[in-house]
Amino acid sequence: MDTQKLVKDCIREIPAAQRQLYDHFAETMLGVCYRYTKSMDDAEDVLQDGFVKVFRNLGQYKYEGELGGWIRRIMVTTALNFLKKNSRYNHEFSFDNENLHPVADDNPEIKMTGKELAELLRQLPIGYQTIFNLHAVEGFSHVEIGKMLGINEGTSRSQYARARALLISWIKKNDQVNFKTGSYAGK
Amino acid sequence: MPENEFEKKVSSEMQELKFKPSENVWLRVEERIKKKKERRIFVVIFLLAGLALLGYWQRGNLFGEQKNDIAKKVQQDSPGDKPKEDNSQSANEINNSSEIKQNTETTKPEETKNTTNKTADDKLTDDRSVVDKKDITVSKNEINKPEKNNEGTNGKQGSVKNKKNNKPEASIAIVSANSKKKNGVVDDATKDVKTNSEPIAKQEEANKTEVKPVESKIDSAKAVTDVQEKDTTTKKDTVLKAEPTKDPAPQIVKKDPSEKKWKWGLHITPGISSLNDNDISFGGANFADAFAYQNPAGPGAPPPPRQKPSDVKAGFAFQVGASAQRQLSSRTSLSLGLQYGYYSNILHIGNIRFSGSNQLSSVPGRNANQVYNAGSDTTKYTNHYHFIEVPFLFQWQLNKNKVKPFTWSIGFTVGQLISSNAIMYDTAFNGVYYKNKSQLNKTQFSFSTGFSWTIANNKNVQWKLGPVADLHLTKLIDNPFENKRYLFFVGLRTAVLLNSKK
Repeated sequence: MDTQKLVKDCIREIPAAQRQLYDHFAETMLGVCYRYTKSMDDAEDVLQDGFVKVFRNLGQYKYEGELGGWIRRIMVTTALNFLKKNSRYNHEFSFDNENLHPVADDNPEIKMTGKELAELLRQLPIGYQTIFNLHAVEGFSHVEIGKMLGINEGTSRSQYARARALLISWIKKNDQVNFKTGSYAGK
Repeated sequence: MPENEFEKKVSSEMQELKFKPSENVWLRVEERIKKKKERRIFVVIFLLAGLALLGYWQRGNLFGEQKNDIAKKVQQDSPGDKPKEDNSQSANEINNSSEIKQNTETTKPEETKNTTNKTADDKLTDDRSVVDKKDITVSKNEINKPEKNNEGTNGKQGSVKNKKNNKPEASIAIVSANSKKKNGVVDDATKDVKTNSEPIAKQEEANKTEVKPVESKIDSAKAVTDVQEKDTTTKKDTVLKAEPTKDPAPQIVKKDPSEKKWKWGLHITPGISSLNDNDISFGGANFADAFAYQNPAGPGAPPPPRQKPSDVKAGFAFQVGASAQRQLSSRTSLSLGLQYGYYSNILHIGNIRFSGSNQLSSVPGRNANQVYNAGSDTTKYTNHYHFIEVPFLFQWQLNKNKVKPFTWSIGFTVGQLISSNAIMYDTAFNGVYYKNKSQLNKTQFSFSTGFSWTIANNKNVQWKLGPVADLHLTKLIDNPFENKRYLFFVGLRTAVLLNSKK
C-alpha cells in the first residue's frame, strides 16, 4: 500500500481510499480505544470520533512519521476527550491519594495473553487505567501526561505507581481470576 | 518511560491488541465526513453568490465614482465655472427648487455631453458600499495538543470519590475486588466483549518494546479474525435513523438511464422589475446625473429652471417560456431555455409639451414626435420592455430528497429587446421626456439565480415553485443625462417539468 498516495486520495475525499484507510487501521485502533474505555460500545464511539478527526485533518499529516503512529495519537487524544466529557467517566476521572501497599516484586512474570491483560487493565479505576495506558503502553513521560491531563507530574507518577501496584497484585493472583466471566474471583 | 520488563511486556502485548469494529462504525464515520463536505460546498456557493452580488454592486459604485471624479476634475480645471445654488425658480414650474443644483455655466449641449458635470455627487457617494471584512475562524487543532481538563481533573484532584452508583458497569467487578467480594459479578459489557471476541491471529510485528508506540507495518497482512459482529440493534447509534434518508424512494434512487436524457419543461414567472444603478432597490432613485447637463441658454444668461426627472417605480413583469434540462449527475443539471420576458417600470411625468412630427428637430441629434414635460407629475407613464431571452442555468439540488428536490440555480441569460415604448429624460427645454430607441441597448446579458421547491412529483410531471432573480449586467439605457441603469427582475416561478418515460 502506497501510504502517500492513499493519504492524498483521502484528502481528495475519494470514498474508496477513505474506506481503504479505515479498513487498514480500524482493528488496531479499536484495540487502542478499547484500552481506554470500559465497554466496546464506548470504544467504538471513540473510534468513530477519532476517524472523523483523522479524515478531517489528514491534510496536516506531514509524512514525517508512520501514518499509524499519527492516527494512534489522534485516537489517544480522542479517547482522553471522551473520558473527560462523558458523564459516565468524568466522575471517576480523578486522581485521588488513596494509599496502596507497594508490591515487593516489581517485575512479575506475565503469562496472560494480551487480551487478558487488556481486560485486567480495563478493570482499573479509570484514572489509573488512563495513566497506566499513557505511560506504560503509549510511552508518554509523566511530564507529558501531566500536560495532557492537566495534573502535576508528581501526581502522574504516584497514580502510575498505584496503578502498577494494583495491576501487579492482580496479575499475581491471576490463577484466582476468572477472566472468562470478566469478574474477579480471587480466593 | 518504562524501564523494566514488566512495562515492556505490557506494552508489547497491548500494541498487538486488535478488535474488529462493527460495520456501523464505518457507516457513521462516512456519514459524518460527507456532512462536513456538504457544509463546505454550501459555504463556497454562498461565498461565490455573495461575491457575484458584491461585484455587481461595486461595479455600479465604481462607474459612479469615475463619473464623479471626472466631474470634479472638470470643475477644478475651470474655477470660474463653479455651480451655484439657484433659488429663483418659479414655484409654478418646480416644487422643490431649493433642492436643485444648477450650473451657471452655459455651453452647447454637444459639448456638455463629453464632460457631463455632476452636481449631485453627494447622493451617489452616500450610496457607496462598505464591505465588511469577516474574520475567518480557524478551528482549534485538537490533534497535537490535547485539551487540558483543568476543570475536570484539577478540580477533583486529590479528592477521593467512590460513588458506586456512578461507576461504569465494567469497573464494578474489579473495583469490588477492593471490597473483597468473592462472588463473580458478570458485567454485561464485559461479557459481551468476551463472548463475542475470539482470539485474534497475531500480525507479524517485530519489536514493540520501544517507548514510543510503533505502528505495525502498513504492508503487513491483515489479521484474520473470527470475531462475531455484535448485534447492531442494541447499539445506540444513529445509523438506523440515517438509513431512511439514504434510500427514501428505491424506485427513484436506482439509476435510470433516462435521467441522462433531456427533460422538457414550461414555466411562467410573474414578478416585478425596475431600473437600478448603484444598489438593488425598487423606486425612489432620481436621475441625478441629468442635472449635470449644462444650461443651453448661453454664457452669462440666468439659468432657467430645470424640471426634476421622475423617480422610477417598479412595475409588473413576467417571464414565460420553455426549457430543456439535462441531468449531469444525481444532483446537478444544466438547463437551456427560450422565453419571452416582459418588464416595465413607472414614471411620473408632466403633460405632452409638443405633439407632431420631429418636435426636437431644433436640438441637434434628437428627433421625437411626442415630447412630455418633466417634473409636474401629472401623468403616470409606464415604460414597457419586451424581450426574447435565452437562459442558461446550472442547477444544483441542495437536499437529498429525490422525490421533492430543492434546487438552487445559477447562470446567465442573453436577451434581445424586440419592442419598447420607453421614454428618456433630456435636459432640453429645461427637462423633457421623449422616446429615443437609439439609446436602448437591445442586447442584454444578465446574471440569473433562483431557488425552486418541487411541490408535486409523479410519473409524468414535476411541479416546481420558487423565487428567481435576474440582474442585468448590460446597461439598458445609454442616456448621457442619466446614470447607467440596469434592469432588475424578481419573480415567483412556477414550472412544470415533464419526466421522460424512457
